Amino acid sequence: MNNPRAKHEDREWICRTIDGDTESFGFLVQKYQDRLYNGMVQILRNESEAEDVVQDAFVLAFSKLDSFQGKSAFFTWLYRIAYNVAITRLRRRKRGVSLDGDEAKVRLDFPDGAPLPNHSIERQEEAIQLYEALDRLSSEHRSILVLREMEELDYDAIAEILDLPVGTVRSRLHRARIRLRELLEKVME
Amino acid sequence: MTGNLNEGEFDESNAERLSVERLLTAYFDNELEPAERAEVEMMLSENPDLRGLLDQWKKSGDSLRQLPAYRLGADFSTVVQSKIDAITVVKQHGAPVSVSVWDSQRVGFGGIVGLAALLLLTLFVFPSLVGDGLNQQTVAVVEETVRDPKTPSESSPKERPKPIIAPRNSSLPRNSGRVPGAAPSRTRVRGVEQVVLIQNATLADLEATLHQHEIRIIDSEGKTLDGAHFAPLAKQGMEAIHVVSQKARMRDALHEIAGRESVSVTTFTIPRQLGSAKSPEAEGALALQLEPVDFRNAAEVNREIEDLNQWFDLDVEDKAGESMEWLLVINSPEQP
Repeated sequence: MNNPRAKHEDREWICRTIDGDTESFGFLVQKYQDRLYNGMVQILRNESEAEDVVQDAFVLAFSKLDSFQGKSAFFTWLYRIAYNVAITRLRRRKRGVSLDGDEAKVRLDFPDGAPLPNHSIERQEEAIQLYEALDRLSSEHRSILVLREMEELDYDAIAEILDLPVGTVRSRLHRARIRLRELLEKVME
Repeated sequence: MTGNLNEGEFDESNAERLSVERLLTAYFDNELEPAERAEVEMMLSENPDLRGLLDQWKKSGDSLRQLPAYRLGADFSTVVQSKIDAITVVKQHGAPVSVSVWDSQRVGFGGIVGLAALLLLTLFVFPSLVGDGLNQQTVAVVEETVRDPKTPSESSPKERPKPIIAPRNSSLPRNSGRVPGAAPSRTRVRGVEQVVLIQNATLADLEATLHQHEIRIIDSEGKTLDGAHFAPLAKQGMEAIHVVSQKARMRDALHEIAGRESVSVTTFTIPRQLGSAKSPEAEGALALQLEPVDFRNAAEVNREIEDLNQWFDLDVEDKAGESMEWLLVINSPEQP
Protein backbone atom coordinates (compact mmCIF):
# COMPACT_ATOMS: atom_id res chain seq x y z
CA MET A 1 0.00 0.00 0.00
CA ASN A 2 2.54 2.57 1.11
CA ASN A 3 5.33 1.32 -1.05
CA PRO A 4 6.56 4.47 -2.83
CA ARG A 5 7.79 2.48 -5.82
CA ALA A 6 4.40 0.84 -6.25
CA LYS A 7 2.74 4.23 -5.86
CA HIS A 8 5.00 5.72 -8.49
CA GLU A 9 4.27 2.81 -10.81
CA ASP A 10 0.53 3.27 -10.31
CA ARG A 11 0.81 6.97 -10.98
CA GLU A 12 2.67 6.26 -14.20
CA TRP A 13 -0.06 3.91 -15.42
CA ILE A 14 -2.78 6.33 -14.36
CA CYS A 15 -1.17 9.19 -16.27
CA ARG A 16 -0.78 7.04 -19.37
CA THR A 17 -4.39 5.93 -19.15
CA ILE A 18 -5.60 9.50 -18.86
CA ASP A 19 -3.47 10.31 -21.89
CA GLY A 20 -5.42 7.72 -23.84
CA ASP A 21 -3.36 4.57 -23.43
CA THR A 22 -6.10 2.31 -22.08
CA GLU A 23 -3.80 -0.69 -22.02
CA SER A 24 -1.99 0.91 -19.11
CA PHE A 25 -5.19 0.64 -17.14
CA GLY A 26 -4.99 -3.07 -17.87
CA PHE A 27 -1.82 -3.22 -15.77
CA LEU A 28 -3.69 -1.70 -12.86
CA VAL A 29 -6.50 -4.21 -13.33
CA GLN A 30 -4.09 -7.13 -13.32
CA LYS A 31 -2.22 -5.79 -10.35
CA TYR A 32 -5.22 -5.30 -8.11
CA GLN A 33 -7.97 -7.57 -9.38
CA ASP A 34 -7.33 -10.55 -7.11
CA ARG A 35 -6.70 -8.49 -4.03
CA LEU A 36 -9.85 -6.49 -4.57
CA TYR A 37 -11.84 -9.60 -5.43
CA ASN A 38 -10.73 -11.44 -2.31
CA GLY A 39 -11.80 -8.49 -0.16
CA MET A 40 -15.16 -8.22 -1.89
CA VAL A 41 -15.81 -11.97 -1.55
CA GLN A 42 -15.21 -11.68 2.17
CA ILE A 43 -17.48 -8.64 2.50
CA LEU A 44 -20.28 -9.95 0.29
CA ARG A 45 -19.82 -13.65 1.11
CA ASN A 46 -20.66 -14.43 -2.48
CA GLU A 47 -18.18 -15.09 -5.27
CA SER A 48 -20.27 -14.20 -8.30
CA GLU A 49 -21.56 -10.99 -6.75
CA ALA A 50 -18.00 -10.09 -5.81
CA GLU A 51 -16.87 -10.62 -9.39
CA ASP A 52 -19.62 -8.30 -10.66
CA VAL A 53 -18.69 -5.70 -8.08
CA VAL A 54 -15.00 -5.80 -8.97
CA GLN A 55 -15.83 -5.52 -12.64
CA ASP A 56 -18.11 -2.54 -12.02
CA ALA A 57 -15.51 -0.97 -9.76
CA PHE A 58 -12.79 -1.12 -12.39
CA VAL A 59 -15.07 0.30 -15.06
CA LEU A 60 -16.16 3.08 -12.73
CA ALA A 61 -12.58 3.75 -11.69
CA PHE A 62 -11.60 4.01 -15.33
CA SER A 63 -14.36 6.46 -16.09
CA LYS A 64 -13.51 8.56 -13.03
CA LEU A 65 -9.77 8.27 -13.30
CA ASP A 66 -9.17 11.91 -14.06
CA SER A 67 -10.82 12.81 -10.75
CA PHE A 68 -8.28 10.71 -8.84
CA GLN A 69 -6.03 13.27 -7.23
CA GLY A 70 -3.41 10.93 -5.85
CA LYS A 71 -3.92 12.07 -2.26
CA SER A 72 -4.44 8.46 -1.26
CA ALA A 73 -3.10 5.27 -2.76
CA PHE A 74 -4.82 4.16 -5.94
CA PHE A 75 -5.85 0.91 -4.29
CA THR A 76 -7.57 2.79 -1.43
CA TRP A 77 -9.48 4.88 -3.93
CA LEU A 78 -10.37 1.83 -5.99
CA TYR A 79 -11.42 -0.07 -2.89
CA ARG A 80 -13.72 2.74 -1.88
CA ILE A 81 -15.46 2.60 -5.23
CA ALA A 82 -15.82 -1.18 -4.97
CA TYR A 83 -16.99 -0.94 -1.38
CA ASN A 84 -19.73 1.53 -2.32
CA VAL A 85 -20.92 -0.76 -5.11
CA ALA A 86 -20.83 -3.72 -2.71
CA ILE A 87 -22.77 -1.86 -0.04
CA THR A 88 -25.47 -1.01 -2.54
CA ARG A 89 -25.80 -4.72 -3.26
CA LEU A 90 -25.86 -5.62 0.39
CA ARG A 91 -28.63 -3.11 1.03
CA ARG A 92 -30.62 -4.48 -1.84
CA ARG A 93 -30.12 -8.00 -0.56
CA LYS A 94 -31.13 -6.93 2.94
CA ARG A 95 -34.27 -5.39 1.57
CA GLY A 96 -35.10 -8.67 -0.15
CA VAL A 97 -34.94 -7.31 -3.67
CA SER A 98 -32.85 -9.23 -6.13
CA LEU A 99 -32.95 -8.88 -9.86
CA ASP A 100 -32.41 -12.59 -10.38
CA GLY A 101 -35.02 -13.46 -7.80
CA ASP A 102 -32.67 -15.64 -5.79
CA GLU A 103 -33.11 -14.59 -2.19
CA ALA A 104 -31.65 -17.69 -0.55
CA LYS A 105 -28.51 -17.06 1.44
CA VAL A 106 -25.75 -19.09 -0.09
CA ARG A 107 -22.98 -20.13 2.22
CA LEU A 108 -19.56 -19.23 0.96
CA ASP A 109 -17.26 -22.16 0.23
CA PHE A 110 -13.52 -22.17 0.27
CA PRO A 111 -11.97 -21.10 -3.00
CA ASP A 112 -11.60 -23.86 -5.56
CA GLY A 113 -8.27 -25.62 -5.50
CA ALA A 114 -6.87 -23.48 -2.70
CA PRO A 115 -5.01 -25.35 -0.01
CA LEU A 116 -6.50 -24.91 3.43
CA PRO A 117 -4.29 -23.33 6.04
CA ASN A 118 -1.32 -25.53 6.89
CA HIS A 119 -3.21 -28.62 5.70
CA SER A 120 -3.69 -29.83 9.26
CA ILE A 121 -7.15 -31.05 10.23
CA GLU A 122 -7.11 -28.80 13.26
CA ARG A 123 -6.31 -25.76 11.15
CA GLN A 124 -8.92 -26.73 8.58
CA GLU A 125 -11.53 -27.02 11.30
CA GLU A 126 -10.50 -23.63 12.63
CA ALA A 127 -10.81 -22.10 9.18
CA ILE A 128 -14.30 -23.56 8.77
CA GLN A 129 -15.33 -22.12 12.12
CA LEU A 130 -13.89 -18.77 11.12
CA TYR A 131 -15.94 -18.85 7.92
CA GLU A 132 -19.07 -19.56 9.89
CA ALA A 133 -18.33 -16.73 12.28
CA LEU A 134 -17.66 -14.33 9.40
CA ASP A 135 -20.98 -15.34 7.85
CA ARG A 136 -22.77 -14.36 11.03
CA LEU A 137 -21.01 -11.05 11.54
CA SER A 138 -22.80 -7.89 10.47
CA SER A 139 -21.53 -6.52 7.18
CA GLU A 140 -20.20 -3.45 9.01
CA HIS A 141 -18.10 -5.52 11.37
CA ARG A 142 -17.02 -7.90 8.67
CA SER A 143 -15.96 -5.07 6.35
CA ILE A 144 -13.80 -3.36 8.92
CA LEU A 145 -12.14 -6.64 9.93
CA VAL A 146 -11.41 -7.48 6.31
CA LEU A 147 -9.85 -4.07 5.77
CA ARG A 148 -7.71 -4.20 8.89
CA GLU A 149 -6.84 -7.86 9.35
CA MET A 150 -6.75 -9.14 5.80
CA GLU A 151 -5.90 -6.04 3.80
CA GLU A 152 -3.75 -4.70 6.64
CA LEU A 153 -4.76 -1.15 5.85
CA ASP A 154 -4.00 1.63 8.31
CA TYR A 155 -6.73 3.59 10.06
CA ASP A 156 -6.57 6.53 7.68
CA ALA A 157 -7.13 4.30 4.67
CA ILE A 158 -9.95 2.43 6.42
CA ALA A 159 -11.55 5.73 7.39
CA GLU A 160 -11.36 6.88 3.81
CA ILE A 161 -12.84 3.72 2.37
CA LEU A 162 -15.66 3.47 4.89
CA ASP A 163 -16.15 7.23 5.02
CA LEU A 164 -15.86 7.27 8.80
CA PRO A 165 -13.92 9.38 11.28
CA VAL A 166 -10.78 7.64 12.55
CA GLY A 167 -12.25 7.54 16.07
CA THR A 168 -15.20 5.56 14.78
CA VAL A 169 -12.84 3.20 12.98
CA ARG A 170 -11.15 2.48 16.32
CA SER A 171 -14.34 1.81 18.24
CA ARG A 172 -15.95 -0.18 15.44
CA LEU A 173 -12.84 -2.31 15.12
CA HIS A 174 -12.91 -2.92 18.83
CA ARG A 175 -16.50 -4.12 18.72
CA ALA A 176 -15.95 -6.14 15.58
CA ARG A 177 -13.09 -8.03 17.19
CA ILE A 178 -15.06 -8.72 20.31
CA ARG A 179 -18.06 -9.84 18.29
CA LEU A 180 -15.91 -12.12 16.16
CA ARG A 181 -14.51 -13.78 19.30
CA GLU A 182 -18.02 -14.24 20.66
CA LEU A 183 -19.20 -15.82 17.43
CA LEU A 184 -16.15 -18.05 17.26
CA GLU A 185 -16.87 -19.27 20.76
CA LYS A 186 -20.45 -19.99 19.71
CA VAL A 187 -19.53 -21.96 16.60
CA MET A 188 -16.91 -23.91 18.55
CA GLU A 189 -19.51 -25.05 21.08
CA MET B 1 -15.54 -14.13 27.69
CA THR B 2 -12.58 -12.59 29.42
CA GLY B 3 -11.52 -9.02 28.91
CA ASN B 4 -14.68 -7.91 27.16
CA LEU B 5 -14.94 -4.23 27.92
CA ASN B 6 -18.63 -4.29 27.11
CA GLU B 7 -19.24 -6.55 30.03
CA GLY B 8 -18.14 -3.97 32.57
CA GLU B 9 -14.89 -5.24 34.04
CA PHE B 10 -13.94 -1.62 34.49
CA ASP B 11 -15.62 0.91 36.62
CA GLU B 12 -15.41 3.74 34.15
CA SER B 13 -18.13 5.85 32.71
CA ASN B 14 -19.19 5.10 29.15
CA ALA B 15 -17.02 7.88 27.83
CA GLU B 16 -14.01 6.58 29.68
CA ARG B 17 -14.75 3.06 28.53
CA LEU B 18 -14.98 4.23 24.94
CA SER B 19 -11.68 5.96 25.37
CA VAL B 20 -10.09 2.77 26.74
CA GLU B 21 -11.56 0.71 23.90
CA ARG B 22 -10.17 3.07 21.32
CA LEU B 23 -6.78 3.23 23.01
CA LEU B 24 -6.53 -0.52 23.31
CA THR B 25 -7.54 -1.10 19.71
CA ALA B 26 -5.15 1.52 18.42
CA TYR B 27 -2.38 0.06 20.58
CA PHE B 28 -3.03 -3.37 19.14
CA ASP B 29 -2.90 -1.94 15.62
CA ASN B 30 0.24 0.03 16.33
CA GLU B 31 -1.50 3.33 15.66
CA LEU B 32 -0.57 5.15 18.85
CA GLU B 33 2.02 7.79 19.63
CA PRO B 34 4.78 6.71 22.04
CA ALA B 35 3.20 8.51 25.02
CA GLU B 36 -0.13 6.78 24.48
CA ARG B 37 1.58 3.44 23.97
CA ALA B 38 3.27 3.84 27.34
CA GLU B 39 -0.09 4.61 28.91
CA VAL B 40 -1.65 1.46 27.47
CA GLU B 41 1.34 -0.68 28.44
CA MET B 42 0.95 0.53 31.99
CA MET B 43 -2.72 -0.44 31.86
CA LEU B 44 -1.86 -3.85 30.43
CA SER B 45 0.72 -4.55 33.09
CA GLU B 46 -1.98 -4.07 35.70
CA ASN B 47 -4.67 -6.09 33.98
CA PRO B 48 -4.13 -9.66 32.78
CA ASP B 49 -7.66 -9.76 31.30
CA LEU B 50 -6.72 -7.08 28.86
CA ARG B 51 -3.57 -8.93 27.89
CA GLY B 52 -5.72 -12.02 27.29
CA LEU B 53 -8.01 -9.96 25.09
CA LEU B 54 -5.10 -8.82 22.95
CA ASP B 55 -3.88 -12.41 22.64
CA GLN B 56 -7.31 -13.44 21.39
CA TRP B 57 -7.34 -10.62 18.86
CA LYS B 58 -3.92 -11.64 17.64
CA LYS B 59 -5.05 -15.22 17.21
CA SER B 60 -8.18 -14.18 15.28
CA GLY B 61 -6.20 -11.80 13.11
CA ASP B 62 -3.60 -14.47 12.30
CA SER B 63 -6.36 -16.92 11.40
CA LEU B 64 -8.04 -14.38 9.13
CA ARG B 65 -4.78 -13.70 7.33
CA GLN B 66 -4.21 -17.41 6.80
CA LEU B 67 -7.53 -17.99 5.09
CA PRO B 68 -7.13 -19.11 1.48
CA ALA B 69 -7.44 -16.27 -1.00
CA TYR B 70 -10.05 -16.10 -3.73
CA ARG B 71 -8.75 -15.47 -7.21
CA LEU B 72 -10.39 -14.41 -10.42
CA GLY B 73 -10.28 -16.34 -13.66
CA ALA B 74 -7.57 -15.63 -16.20
CA ASP B 75 -10.02 -13.90 -18.56
CA PHE B 76 -11.21 -11.35 -16.02
CA SER B 77 -8.93 -8.55 -17.12
CA THR B 78 -9.92 -9.19 -20.75
CA VAL B 79 -13.59 -8.77 -19.83
CA VAL B 80 -12.86 -5.52 -18.02
CA GLN B 81 -10.70 -4.32 -20.89
CA SER B 82 -13.49 -4.96 -23.39
CA LYS B 83 -15.94 -2.99 -21.24
CA ILE B 84 -13.44 -0.17 -21.03
CA ASP B 85 -12.86 -0.28 -24.76
CA ALA B 86 -16.61 0.08 -25.26
CA ILE B 87 -16.52 3.23 -23.17
CA THR B 88 -13.57 4.68 -24.97
CA VAL B 89 -15.12 4.17 -28.37
CA VAL B 90 -16.76 7.49 -27.74
CA LYS B 91 -13.40 9.12 -27.41
CA GLN B 92 -11.98 7.54 -30.53
CA HIS B 93 -14.17 9.41 -32.96
CA GLY B 94 -11.69 12.23 -33.37
CA ALA B 95 -12.68 15.78 -32.67
CA PRO B 96 -15.39 16.24 -30.11
CA VAL B 97 -18.80 16.86 -31.51
CA SER B 98 -19.91 20.11 -30.04
CA VAL B 99 -23.63 19.97 -30.29
CA SER B 100 -26.40 21.32 -28.25
CA VAL B 101 -29.29 19.07 -27.52
CA TRP B 102 -31.49 21.83 -28.84
CA ASP B 103 -30.06 21.43 -32.31
CA SER B 104 -32.92 21.69 -34.74
CA GLN B 105 -31.50 19.14 -37.20
CA ARG B 106 -31.36 16.45 -34.59
CA VAL B 107 -34.19 17.16 -32.32
CA GLY B 108 -36.63 18.60 -34.78
CA PHE B 109 -38.66 21.69 -34.29
CA GLY B 110 -41.46 19.96 -32.47
CA GLY B 111 -38.98 18.40 -30.14
CA ILE B 112 -37.27 21.69 -29.38
CA VAL B 113 -40.46 23.54 -28.82
CA GLY B 114 -41.91 20.68 -26.86
CA LEU B 115 -38.93 20.51 -24.61
CA ALA B 116 -38.82 24.26 -24.33
CA ALA B 117 -42.48 24.27 -23.43
CA LEU B 118 -41.85 21.68 -20.81
CA LEU B 119 -39.00 23.68 -19.39
CA LEU B 120 -41.05 26.88 -19.49
CA LEU B 121 -43.76 25.21 -17.52
CA THR B 122 -41.15 23.67 -15.33
CA LEU B 123 -39.97 27.15 -14.45
CA PHE B 124 -43.25 27.63 -12.67
CA VAL B 125 -43.59 24.31 -10.97
CA PHE B 126 -40.00 23.15 -10.72
CA PRO B 127 -37.77 26.21 -10.71
CA SER B 128 -34.88 24.39 -9.10
CA LEU B 129 -34.60 22.19 -12.16
CA VAL B 130 -33.42 25.14 -14.09
CA GLY B 131 -31.69 27.08 -11.39
CA ASP B 132 -29.00 29.65 -11.66
CA GLY B 133 -26.96 29.07 -14.75
CA LEU B 134 -23.78 29.98 -12.93
CA ASN B 135 -24.21 27.46 -10.19
CA GLN B 136 -26.47 24.77 -11.44
CA GLN B 137 -26.74 23.12 -14.80
CA THR B 138 -29.33 20.96 -16.36
CA VAL B 139 -27.34 18.35 -18.18
CA ALA B 140 -28.64 16.87 -21.36
CA VAL B 141 -27.59 13.55 -22.79
CA VAL B 142 -28.40 12.26 -26.20
CA GLU B 143 -27.59 8.72 -27.10
CA GLU B 144 -28.51 7.54 -30.55
CA THR B 145 -29.69 4.01 -30.18
CA VAL B 146 -32.23 3.27 -32.85
CA ARG B 147 -30.66 1.70 -35.90
CA ASP B 148 -31.74 -0.12 -38.94
CA PRO B 149 -31.43 -3.77 -37.87
CA LYS B 150 -29.83 -4.61 -41.20
CA THR B 151 -27.01 -2.17 -40.67
CA PRO B 152 -23.89 -4.30 -40.17
CA SER B 153 -22.26 -1.60 -38.11
CA GLU B 154 -24.14 -2.82 -35.05
CA SER B 155 -21.48 -5.44 -34.60
CA SER B 156 -18.77 -2.84 -34.82
CA PRO B 157 -18.81 -0.57 -31.80
CA LYS B 158 -16.46 1.91 -33.47
CA GLU B 159 -19.18 2.84 -35.91
CA ARG B 160 -21.68 3.74 -33.27
CA PRO B 161 -22.64 7.37 -33.35
CA LYS B 162 -21.19 9.49 -30.65
CA PRO B 163 -23.47 10.36 -27.78
CA ILE B 164 -23.90 14.06 -27.49
CA ILE B 165 -24.34 16.22 -24.51
CA ALA B 166 -24.38 19.88 -23.81
CA PRO B 167 -24.98 21.75 -20.63
CA ARG B 168 -28.23 23.62 -20.93
CA ASN B 169 -26.57 26.99 -20.81
CA SER B 170 -23.81 25.96 -23.15
CA SER B 171 -22.80 28.40 -25.82
CA LEU B 172 -21.35 25.62 -27.93
CA PRO B 173 -21.93 25.87 -31.66
CA ARG B 174 -24.80 23.78 -32.93
CA ASN B 175 -24.36 21.31 -35.72
CA SER B 176 -25.82 18.07 -36.90
CA GLY B 177 -24.01 15.98 -34.37
CA ARG B 178 -23.15 13.40 -36.97
CA VAL B 179 -19.95 11.54 -36.39
CA PRO B 180 -17.61 11.71 -39.38
CA GLY B 181 -17.58 8.38 -41.12
CA ALA B 182 -20.30 6.88 -38.99
CA ALA B 183 -22.99 4.81 -40.61
CA PRO B 184 -26.24 6.68 -41.07
CA SER B 185 -28.72 5.96 -38.38
CA ARG B 186 -32.32 6.75 -37.70
CA THR B 187 -32.92 8.72 -34.58
CA ARG B 188 -36.38 9.20 -33.27
CA VAL B 189 -36.36 12.20 -31.09
CA ARG B 190 -39.62 13.85 -30.29
CA GLY B 191 -38.97 15.80 -27.15
CA VAL B 192 -39.30 14.63 -23.61
CA GLU B 193 -41.92 11.95 -23.20
CA GLN B 194 -41.18 10.66 -19.75
CA VAL B 195 -40.49 12.55 -16.57
CA VAL B 196 -38.90 10.37 -13.95
CA LEU B 197 -38.57 11.55 -10.38
CA ILE B 198 -35.83 9.74 -8.53
CA GLN B 199 -35.68 10.53 -4.86
CA ASN B 200 -32.86 9.75 -2.48
CA ALA B 201 -30.61 7.97 -4.93
CA THR B 202 -27.00 8.92 -4.55
CA LEU B 203 -25.63 10.38 -7.71
CA ALA B 204 -22.75 7.93 -7.66
CA ASP B 205 -25.25 5.06 -7.57
CA LEU B 206 -27.29 6.58 -10.32
CA GLU B 207 -24.23 7.16 -12.42
CA ALA B 208 -23.11 3.57 -11.90
CA THR B 209 -26.50 2.24 -12.89
CA LEU B 210 -26.82 4.34 -16.01
CA HIS B 211 -23.31 3.34 -16.90
CA GLN B 212 -24.05 -0.33 -16.39
CA HIS B 213 -26.96 -0.11 -18.77
CA GLU B 214 -24.80 1.67 -21.30
CA ILE B 215 -26.56 4.95 -20.78
CA ARG B 216 -23.62 7.25 -20.55
CA ILE B 217 -23.49 10.77 -19.31
CA ILE B 218 -20.80 12.61 -21.17
CA ASP B 219 -20.00 16.22 -21.74
CA SER B 220 -19.64 18.06 -25.01
CA GLU B 221 -16.03 16.99 -25.29
CA GLY B 222 -16.82 13.33 -24.99
CA LYS B 223 -15.66 13.14 -21.39
CA THR B 224 -17.70 10.93 -19.13
CA LEU B 225 -19.25 12.87 -16.31
CA ASP B 226 -19.22 11.25 -12.94
CA GLY B 227 -20.68 11.54 -9.49
CA ALA B 228 -17.92 13.92 -8.46
CA HIS B 229 -19.09 16.29 -11.17
CA PHE B 230 -22.66 16.23 -9.94
CA ALA B 231 -22.01 16.24 -6.23
CA PRO B 232 -21.61 20.01 -5.77
CA LEU B 233 -24.78 20.54 -7.77
CA ALA B 234 -26.69 17.92 -5.86
CA LYS B 235 -25.99 19.74 -2.64
CA GLN B 236 -27.94 22.65 -3.98
CA GLY B 237 -31.09 20.64 -4.40
CA MET B 238 -32.19 19.01 -7.58
CA GLU B 239 -30.63 18.02 -10.82
CA ALA B 240 -32.22 17.18 -14.12
CA ILE B 241 -30.72 14.99 -16.78
CA HIS B 242 -32.20 14.74 -20.22
CA VAL B 243 -31.64 11.31 -21.72
CA VAL B 244 -32.48 9.71 -25.01
CA SER B 245 -32.28 5.97 -24.72
CA GLN B 246 -34.02 2.79 -25.71
CA LYS B 247 -36.98 2.12 -23.55
CA ALA B 248 -35.73 -1.32 -22.52
CA ARG B 249 -32.43 0.06 -21.30
CA MET B 250 -34.05 2.79 -19.30
CA ARG B 251 -36.61 0.39 -17.90
CA ASP B 252 -33.81 -1.90 -16.68
CA ALA B 253 -31.87 0.99 -15.23
CA LEU B 254 -34.92 2.39 -13.46
CA HIS B 255 -35.84 -1.05 -12.18
CA GLU B 256 -32.40 -1.35 -10.67
CA ILE B 257 -32.47 2.12 -9.17
CA ALA B 258 -35.93 1.49 -7.72
CA GLY B 259 -34.61 -1.70 -6.09
CA ARG B 260 -32.39 0.27 -3.77
CA GLU B 261 -33.22 0.94 -0.21
CA SER B 262 -34.91 4.28 0.40
CA VAL B 263 -35.03 5.20 -3.26
CA SER B 264 -38.32 5.93 -4.88
CA VAL B 265 -38.90 6.25 -8.59
CA THR B 266 -42.00 7.80 -10.11
CA THR B 267 -42.51 7.89 -13.84
CA PHE B 268 -44.91 10.15 -15.71
CA THR B 269 -45.65 10.26 -19.39
CA ILE B 270 -45.99 13.60 -21.08
CA PRO B 271 -49.05 13.78 -23.33
CA ARG B 272 -48.12 13.81 -26.99
CA GLN B 273 -49.73 17.18 -27.61
CA LEU B 274 -47.22 18.82 -25.31
CA GLY B 275 -44.37 17.52 -27.44
CA SER B 276 -45.89 19.07 -30.56
CA ALA B 277 -46.90 22.35 -29.02
CA LYS B 278 -45.55 25.41 -30.77
CA SER B 279 -44.67 28.18 -28.46
CA PRO B 280 -42.03 30.64 -29.71
CA GLU B 281 -41.98 32.28 -26.30
CA ALA B 282 -41.05 28.99 -24.75
CA GLU B 283 -37.71 28.85 -26.49
CA GLY B 284 -36.86 32.27 -25.13
CA ALA B 285 -37.54 30.92 -21.70
CA LEU B 286 -34.41 28.83 -21.97
CA ALA B 287 -32.41 31.94 -21.40
CA LEU B 288 -34.16 32.69 -18.16
CA GLN B 289 -32.13 32.25 -15.06
CA LEU B 290 -33.84 31.89 -11.75
CA GLU B 291 -32.47 31.44 -8.30
CA PRO B 292 -32.38 27.76 -7.37
CA VAL B 293 -34.99 26.63 -4.94
CA ASP B 294 -34.06 24.05 -2.37
CA PHE B 295 -36.80 21.67 -1.38
CA ARG B 296 -36.72 21.25 2.34
CA ASN B 297 -38.22 17.83 2.58
CA ALA B 298 -39.78 14.96 0.65
CA ALA B 299 -43.28 16.30 1.20
CA GLU B 300 -42.40 19.48 -0.65
CA VAL B 301 -40.98 17.45 -3.50
CA ASN B 302 -44.08 15.32 -3.66
CA ARG B 303 -46.32 18.38 -3.68
CA GLU B 304 -44.41 19.79 -6.61
CA ILE B 305 -44.65 16.51 -8.44
CA GLU B 306 -48.37 16.35 -7.82
CA ASP B 307 -48.70 19.83 -9.24
CA LEU B 308 -46.65 18.79 -12.22
CA ASN B 309 -48.83 15.76 -12.68
CA GLN B 310 -52.02 17.81 -12.59
CA TRP B 311 -50.62 20.57 -14.74
CA PHE B 312 -49.62 18.21 -17.53
CA ASP B 313 -52.46 15.78 -16.98
CA LEU B 314 -49.88 13.04 -16.99
CA ASP B 315 -50.70 9.46 -17.67
CA VAL B 316 -48.95 6.24 -18.63
CA GLU B 317 -48.30 5.31 -22.19
CA ASP B 318 -46.46 2.32 -23.59
CA LYS B 319 -44.08 2.55 -26.50
CA ALA B 320 -42.21 -0.72 -26.20
CA GLY B 321 -38.80 -0.94 -27.76
CA GLU B 322 -38.61 2.59 -29.07
CA SER B 323 -36.04 5.18 -28.33
CA MET B 324 -37.50 7.77 -26.04
CA GLU B 325 -36.53 10.97 -24.36
CA TRP B 326 -36.54 11.12 -20.62
CA LEU B 327 -36.10 13.84 -18.11
CA LEU B 328 -34.62 12.36 -14.97
CA VAL B 329 -35.35 14.60 -12.01
CA ILE B 330 -33.03 13.63 -9.23
CA ASN B 331 -33.49 14.61 -5.66
CA SER B 332 -30.27 13.32 -4.22
CA PRO B 333 -29.01 13.14 -0.67
CA GLU B 334 -25.80 14.97 0.03
CA GLN B 335 -22.72 13.28 -1.30
CA PRO B 336 -19.86 12.48 1.06
